Amino acid sequence: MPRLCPRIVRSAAREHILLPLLLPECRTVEQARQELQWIQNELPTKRSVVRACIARSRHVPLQYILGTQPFGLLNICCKPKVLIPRWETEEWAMDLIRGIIRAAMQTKKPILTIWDLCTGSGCIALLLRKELSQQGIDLEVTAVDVSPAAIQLTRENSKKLKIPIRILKSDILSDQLHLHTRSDQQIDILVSNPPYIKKSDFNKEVAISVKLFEPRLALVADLDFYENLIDQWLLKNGNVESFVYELGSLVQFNYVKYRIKSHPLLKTYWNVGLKFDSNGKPRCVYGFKTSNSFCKEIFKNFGSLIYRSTISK
Amino acid sequence: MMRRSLSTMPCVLIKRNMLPPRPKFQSFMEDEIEEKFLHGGRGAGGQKINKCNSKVQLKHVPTGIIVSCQETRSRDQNRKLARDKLALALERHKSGGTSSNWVPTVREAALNERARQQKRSKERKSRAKYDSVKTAKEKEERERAEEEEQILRSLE
Repeated sequence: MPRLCPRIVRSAAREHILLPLLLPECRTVEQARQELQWIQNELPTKRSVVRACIARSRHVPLQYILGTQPFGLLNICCKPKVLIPRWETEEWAMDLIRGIIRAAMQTKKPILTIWDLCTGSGCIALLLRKELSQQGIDLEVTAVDVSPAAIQLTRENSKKLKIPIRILKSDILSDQLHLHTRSDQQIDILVSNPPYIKKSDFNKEVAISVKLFEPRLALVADLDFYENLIDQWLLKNGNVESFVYELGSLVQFNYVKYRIKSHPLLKTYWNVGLKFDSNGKPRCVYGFKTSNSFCKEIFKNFGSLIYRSTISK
Repeated sequence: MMRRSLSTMPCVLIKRNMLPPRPKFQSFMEDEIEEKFLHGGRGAGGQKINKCNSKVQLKHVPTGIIVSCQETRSRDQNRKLARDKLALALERHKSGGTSSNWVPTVREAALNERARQQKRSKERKSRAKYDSVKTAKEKEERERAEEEEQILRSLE
């Protein structure tokens, strides 16, 4: 990160005494001004505003200071030790919701089952449950995480926002949770925002405030969770009808695509697609079974289909 | 007195709850706009950085008007606010102003008129107050003068 120009710092100080404190994170005066406005709006006393700005100069994430992050129409509580919801996640979650609503209008479904793995603050699970039940869609949402802090925060959010979801504490990489689900229970959509930053990228590419304050557990992993998706959920469990996984690079997408394409069974009935975010970066890998027309409808405008199952050809 | 008798135009008072509505974003306009989300980010994004801002930019294709909004931390809110802003900009565009020399909308004209009326009524009230104080003072003085005169007369 280039050094801040002293002239900018001085001109910021002339405008407001607290602005220079926000500059290391915001980088521009305009952005700092905006952030100061938010802090002043949300914190009650002058003293707490000053304290927040000092914390900000030490790279504490704004969401931990203010305690919340807007996510769709929800205001999700944020606490240290749990990943802060990102706008990219909000974006694809909203797109997914739009797809589900459209699909539900065409074919009535008795009850939709959604599982959210690595839920963190519970943001995806809660938003899906809230938005879809508002549209009169019946659904059952299960949120899973390994971190006690995340489970605690998801409970808190669920209670505070009055959105009932099932919350499970489990390590999906070692617990074989997929085998504990009832064999007849179909999972219509499996969503996840798993840790996806490669260990070798962690030091050079991750922003300093993320590096210092957000939990490594929620950030760093290589292909573990994508491997888990294919081996455990698609192969061993087999009741998953469609999935959406957030990702950080094309390597992860190619891995999922390759595993499905090269498997004698999976390649016959799974379709795989890629979704970009509005910043032009690859953001999601999704897949659905060809036989499931409901899921096919959900992902119609979601991203671009890269691999088609051999049946559909 | 003179001035009042000459004004024959009935003055319509503008009430605060009777103002013309703000220009509304109509649902058909949704097809005429291009929406963009700007996060000012080169580089990776996703879990690697944590941006708090979410700027929404709307472009109205037929007129080429562009508005943007990043007032709140919520993208949802910003999208709504940007639409209100665009509706206002379109209303101004319709009333024929340019960006450097804009014509106020119906609501703004009413707001200006209301401000004028309030100022005038304030002036009128203060004038009335000063007048009443002045007459009271004059009356008091007159009474005192009379009293003094009476006292003088009784002394003679």
